[in-house]
Amino acid sequence: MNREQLHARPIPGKWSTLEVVCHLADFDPILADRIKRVIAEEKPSLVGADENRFAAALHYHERDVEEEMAIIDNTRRQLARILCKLPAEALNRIGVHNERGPRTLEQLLTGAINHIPHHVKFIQDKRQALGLKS
Amino acid sequence: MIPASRGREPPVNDERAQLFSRHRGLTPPARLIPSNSPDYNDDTSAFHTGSIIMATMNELIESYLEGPKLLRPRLRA
Repeated sequence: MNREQLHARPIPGKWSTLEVVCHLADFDPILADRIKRVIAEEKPSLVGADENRFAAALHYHERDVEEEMAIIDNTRRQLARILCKLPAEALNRIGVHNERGPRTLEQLLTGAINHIPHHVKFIQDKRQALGLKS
Repeated sequence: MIPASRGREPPVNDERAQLFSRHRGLTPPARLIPSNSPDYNDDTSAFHTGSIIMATMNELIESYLEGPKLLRPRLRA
């Protein structure tokens, strides 16, 4: 997608594609940090983050899509390397989210896995609205 | 997405080994014992709960690494 397409908000009230990618790049390290804390600490506190405040304050339309993708790639490769070394029982480890309460490592990891597919659906909608092939 | 398969032994095959080797030398862990964690259904959002689908650690890691591959093609013109 070119710059204009990345910046377009073809569906009223919804983010642009670049804003979605920046959101994913901002939250992948946050989700990874929570997972790391649950692995390394005993019932750590996990702090929520407001995606709309992030999008409003962190200059998403001034950012570079390839840099954002690199953050996602590197975050996932690094965490996967850690997860490979864990026993299955580690999936039962727990952290306490300040908004959602106790969360197991499995729940946190599954949430991180579902995050991109969740947003890919919305990017597909934007592509269709822009007349791009899906 | 996550395969619904925790509780059974994951298939050991060349495809899995190749997938891990493609990710900069990641080595799949040895056979894992399925955990006994209960089902989760304490939230209306499957995204935030992590869902009730069970998977092995290997499968979770594979799915985690697949995420960027879902995204990149959608950024092409």
